[in-house]
Amino acid sequence: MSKTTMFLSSRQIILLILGLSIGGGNLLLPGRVARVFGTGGWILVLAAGLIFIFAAWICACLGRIFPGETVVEFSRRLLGRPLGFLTGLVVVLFFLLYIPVEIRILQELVNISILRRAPSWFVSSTFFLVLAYATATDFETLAQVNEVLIEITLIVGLMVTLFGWRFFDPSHLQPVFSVEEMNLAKFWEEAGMILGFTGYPLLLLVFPFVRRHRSLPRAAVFAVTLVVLTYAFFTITTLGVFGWNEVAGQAWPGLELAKAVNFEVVILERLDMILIVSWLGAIFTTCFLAYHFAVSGLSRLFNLRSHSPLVWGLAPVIYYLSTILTNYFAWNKWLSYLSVLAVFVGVVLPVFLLFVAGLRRWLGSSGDTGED
Amino acid sequence: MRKKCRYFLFPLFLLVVMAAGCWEGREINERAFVFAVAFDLPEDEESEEGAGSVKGGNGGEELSKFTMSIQVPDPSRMAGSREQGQGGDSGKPFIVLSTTARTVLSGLQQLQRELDRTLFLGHSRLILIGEKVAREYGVDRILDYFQRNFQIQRVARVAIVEGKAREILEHMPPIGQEPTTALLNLLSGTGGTSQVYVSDLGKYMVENSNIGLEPVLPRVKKSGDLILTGGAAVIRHNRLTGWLTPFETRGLNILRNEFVGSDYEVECPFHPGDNINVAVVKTNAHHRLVREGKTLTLKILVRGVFETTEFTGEHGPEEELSEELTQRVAAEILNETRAALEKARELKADIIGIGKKIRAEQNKVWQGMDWEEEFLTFPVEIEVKMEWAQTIRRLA
Repeated sequence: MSKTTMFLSSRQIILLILGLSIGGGNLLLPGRVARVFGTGGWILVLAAGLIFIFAAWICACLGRIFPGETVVEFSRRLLGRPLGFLTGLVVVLFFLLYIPVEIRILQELVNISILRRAPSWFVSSTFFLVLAYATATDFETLAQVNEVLIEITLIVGLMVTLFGWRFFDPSHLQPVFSVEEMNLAKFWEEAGMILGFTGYPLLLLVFPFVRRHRSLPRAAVFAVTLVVLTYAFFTITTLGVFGWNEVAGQAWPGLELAKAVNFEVVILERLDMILIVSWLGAIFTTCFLAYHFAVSGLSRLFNLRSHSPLVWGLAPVIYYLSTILTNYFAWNKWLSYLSVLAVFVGVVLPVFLLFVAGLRRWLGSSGDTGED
Repeated sequence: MRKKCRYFLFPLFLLVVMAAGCWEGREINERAFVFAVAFDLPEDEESEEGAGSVKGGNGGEELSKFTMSIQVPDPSRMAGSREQGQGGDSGKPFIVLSTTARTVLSGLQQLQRELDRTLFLGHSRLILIGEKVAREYGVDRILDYFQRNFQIQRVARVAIVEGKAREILEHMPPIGQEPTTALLNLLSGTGGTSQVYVSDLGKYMVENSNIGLEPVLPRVKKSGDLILTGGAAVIRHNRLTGWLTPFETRGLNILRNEFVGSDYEVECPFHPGDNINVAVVKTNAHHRLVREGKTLTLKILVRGVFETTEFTGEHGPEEELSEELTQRVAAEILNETRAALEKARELKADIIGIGKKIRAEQNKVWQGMDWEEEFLTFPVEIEVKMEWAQTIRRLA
């Protein structure tokens, strides 16, 4: 975010959170939920969503307390230089580690649908080249591209989900919580589902560029609520169409749903292809936003004037990381580890920082912090 | 200016990378589109080249072989009609190739050796399983490949063939160029008789995964020079366990709310010997679990609407007919639905989904049930209420 003149409206912030949250992992969500929680999984999506909505609100509140700073600066002030530096580094790491796995998901999507035999290096490297080029541009352009792409993705996703209701069977959603369906021991394997909710930590890096800090909590809560409701609706539909047992056996329930609702009409005959193409856009937004926030956080950590050199400097590292995720099980495990980091960055860290900020203010040592 | 130049170069770069054609793109004339696949038991057990001994996954039991046939269109003959077909021995606009294999993939690989074009299953819309294969090997073993391959569409039709499945692939329909499209139309229930159970790969997968519901697939058979549809194959524990007649299938469609309309013939209440044909245009079956004392009962209320379409006697529709005619139509439908239920019990397969409903709504009761046994005696009450829509063109 080299341009400090750039100011984000509430709508842009909402779409940025959606852009980072909605990525490749969402196509797997109903399967993950079904494997762990069974038919009642959609209720747990809502319940977990409440936690993340609260955490997003906490994040936004930090923005009201430190309007002109990002987490890199105010964590130093709250926790001291070494701990603050470490905090900033963890946040950067979270965004950075998001990218290789998304690239891998994209590569798998492309291989199973569009270019079946294209080698992974070709798919990953061309995508990554475009990604790095896009990220190297200014944030204003990224925000505008994100607005377009994420809206297309949402419309197509909603269209597929609504068409799915033709085959909806309410009895597939019962019994709501059945012990025979639950397999909590599998939670760790499927923990990657958490990442779908944790797009809002980007707030920690956009506070200086927000136009109206007073409306930030409302925008954050609205965005995460929208994410949660979208996921719950998608999960209900998928479970209602296929039933818990079938969904639990599917790797890509989102794609299967699109394949199931095909119409024998020219443009809608391959609805799954339309979904995949639009979802490539969603993965692109997730990647360039994660990439951007990673390099922008790093440039702030090391007081660099421009983030563009960092984009190209980190490119080989990210590309290498994407190549070690050789198959579904490898990147799924990566997602599980990343979800721990996501909970730390998205829930634990904001609550802790708010607590410290409140404590310092209460002790009268908060210095120059204050409401905007 | 430099920035503008960058924005110009970026789309240009994208075009260079993306508009150059697909990776390993194949021309359409290098592909052999497989329209339909059929599975039968092999004529004899003589081992064939390439179909070597394969050990099963669970403890070394050897996998048995099946004959796999594919129907591939011959584009050079597709443009002309059968009369115009020249140059070939059969003149058919398609070829049928067969091989014996233990898995679908090995079968495809063997067939590929006979063709200079790459076999492509992305347009396969029909999977036919011979009854002997469905009984002895099970349906899942055949469908496993199709369930895992992303190319295969969930809307591909699956049917069980009474007799040899390959014969269906070779049959030329009276109208049209190849049997797959004709059969797809027949299996889609477009005739509006409701005597066909409409299903596809995706629906089979969903039904098969449901607890308390056994899947059903449509039946196809060759009779002389004709291909007949109507009736259904009941799958239990993954194997074909029996057939439903076309009328039982219609009863099943009513009970599962998949009825799309059909004609019935009833005797005229006032003129014995005369018949009245009615078209039942819609039905709705409402399933309700009721506890009466300690007994759980499933009450199914079928409501429907019919129209009179043909009178064999000298009279037409009369108001006095209404009550009696309605009762007779309801009785016909009641008989069919009961017949479907009785056949399901006879085959010990809950194709109606009674167990699924109990599991969903009375899960504690379900936990204590041995459904395979209890299904045979579980109380089910069916009630039918019909209405005469009375859209009448002629009175006399």
